[in-house]
Amino acid sequence: MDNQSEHSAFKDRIKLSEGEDFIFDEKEALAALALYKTNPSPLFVKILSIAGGLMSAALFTLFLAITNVLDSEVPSTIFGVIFILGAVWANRHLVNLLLDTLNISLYTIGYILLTVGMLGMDVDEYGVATLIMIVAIGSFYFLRNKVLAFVTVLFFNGSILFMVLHSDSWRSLQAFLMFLLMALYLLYMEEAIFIQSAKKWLKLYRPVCSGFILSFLTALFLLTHTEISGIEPENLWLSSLFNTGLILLVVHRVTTSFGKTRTGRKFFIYIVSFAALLPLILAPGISGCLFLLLITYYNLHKTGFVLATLALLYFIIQYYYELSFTLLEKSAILFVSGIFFLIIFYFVHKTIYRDEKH
Amino acid sequence: MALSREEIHIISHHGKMEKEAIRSSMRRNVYARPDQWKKFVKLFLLTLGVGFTTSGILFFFAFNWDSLHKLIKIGLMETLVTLTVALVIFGKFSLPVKNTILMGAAILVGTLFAVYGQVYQTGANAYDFFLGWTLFISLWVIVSNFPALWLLLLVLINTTFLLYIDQVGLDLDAISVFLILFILTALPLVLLNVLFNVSIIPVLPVWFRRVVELASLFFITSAVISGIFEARPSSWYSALFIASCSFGAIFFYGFTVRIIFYPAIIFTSLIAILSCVIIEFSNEIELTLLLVSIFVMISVTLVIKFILFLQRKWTDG
Repeated sequence: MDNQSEHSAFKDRIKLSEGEDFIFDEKEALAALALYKTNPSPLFVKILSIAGGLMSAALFTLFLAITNVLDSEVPSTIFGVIFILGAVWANRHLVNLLLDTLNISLYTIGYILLTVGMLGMDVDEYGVATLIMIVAIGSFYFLRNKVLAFVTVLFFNGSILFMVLHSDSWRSLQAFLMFLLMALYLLYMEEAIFIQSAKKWLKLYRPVCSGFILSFLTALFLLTHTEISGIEPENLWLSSLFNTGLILLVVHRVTTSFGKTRTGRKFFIYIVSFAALLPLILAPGISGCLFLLLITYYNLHKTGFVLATLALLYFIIQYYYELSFTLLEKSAILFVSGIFFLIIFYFVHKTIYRDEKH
Repeated sequence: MALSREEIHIISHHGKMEKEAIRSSMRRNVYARPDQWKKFVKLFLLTLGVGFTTSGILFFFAFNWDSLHKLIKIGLMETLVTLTVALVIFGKFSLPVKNTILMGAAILVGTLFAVYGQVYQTGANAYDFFLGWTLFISLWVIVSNFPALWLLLLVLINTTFLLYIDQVGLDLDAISVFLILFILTALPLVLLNVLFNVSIIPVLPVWFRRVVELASLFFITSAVISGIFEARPSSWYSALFIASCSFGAIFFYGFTVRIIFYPAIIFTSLIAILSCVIIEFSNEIELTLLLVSIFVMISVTLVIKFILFLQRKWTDG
């Protein structure tokens, strides 16, 4: 398709969706769309640049450690700050995908140098983690680059996770998970807020989503492996309760957002969802992944949905593997829940079939 | 056609759109629609239902395993295999459903072999078990034209080979093992490609190609790399020769079909090999780390530059 017909097709679609009298700056919008489409980079190019950048950063840090450069705290800290500033400056002023790899390396090395330098100067761990958090937020404000935004989200959540693990308290891990859940809910279910707030979310929305998903799955993994997190299994209910609440909220949003649903049917949906979630009260891994599955499907985020499916499979297997019942009891639990889902399926299938016939 | 997420974002900033307007536009154009939700809920419930019920049944037999008579054990598995295959042949299902059932039957054949080995304590090696499994599903794999089954067969062939090496104890170095694995994976792909081009097989999906291509490339790269660290025996030179030929062929193929994935994976592989060459030939660890770090950074940057250049050229021209 040439430019002209592409433009008129774009305008037709806008009219179709927003109505004939929707007014917008045509020239500017077309220019912005063209700019957005100039540098499409396939997934494996992004993976290559992230992997290459992180790998060369890791090797370079090892080099610095072996040559004892990291032992001199003040220069480390200063160079850390310079590297981060340099990477952030480059990402704003040299709009070029070529520099991605170099930029990620520089940026990552900057964070490592800053952390090591501060720790060397006997700043306590919470202070360092807080500083990294602030630096991450500060640099995010200036970021315009997808890959750097993704890495920044990981650094930000990483510094919180560092504090959580350092505090050695399961309450803080659960609080961190609640924070991640709310962030994910906002990102996926309230996307309009982000779209409206700033133009830069056009580029940064997806990488931030992916960064939060990765952080969430990591935290969930730590929480459910009670031998790592040191949580008493009976304390897991708090996270599950929160997950369940959010899942029901999402279910409510979905059922109400598409016109009217009959009250009886709505209640049926809520009760079934609640009944299905109730036995998972000690399995926050499963309910957390269910939440992820729902919001990524709502938002139609393909990569997120695939990740959520794989994670769900993992947490289900892990849960049944670690369940302290005999094989016979496990078999009965699995069988009964299977039949439960099949019965629900039968009802749903019949209802949908009846609706479509009318 | 609907507006995309990016287009809504752009017009919201170049026109007048309140938050509620953006939200409803996203709902109309981008997000999952009611019919998609219905499909999701149905598939989700069906998968969970079937999955949980069958694992419940399997766990039940696993629990009673020792007290079951061997006739029941083997008879049960054989009945299951026969039933599933009968479903495929006589059932009135759509092709994807039939293929999925056949996949289940192929896995059941493996279970049958495992049960058989356990009951009679045949003393056979594990590779015998995998060889039997591979041979007995081959016919289904060939007639079914189902890529997931092809992949299962490839995995089985490679596993049989690895177990054979391990248990019979052929005196092969790592280079030769990787080289044979490469041939076992790459050759079927080439064959399938030829069959696809002369329209004997109807489909050769991209995901299947990519998985097998990446696996083959991993094997040949590992063959070359392990040779670098193993004082380069004679088999390394044959690996190097085969690697150069296939890299050249893949590169050439990538240029004829104009898919940037091919040059990209070749370059990635070359970066890995050259990094290992640097590691092997520099003596001081400090220097090695510095060199590899700089090399990876520069080479990845150049490769990305080249790939994006190709992409622009191939999409515009």
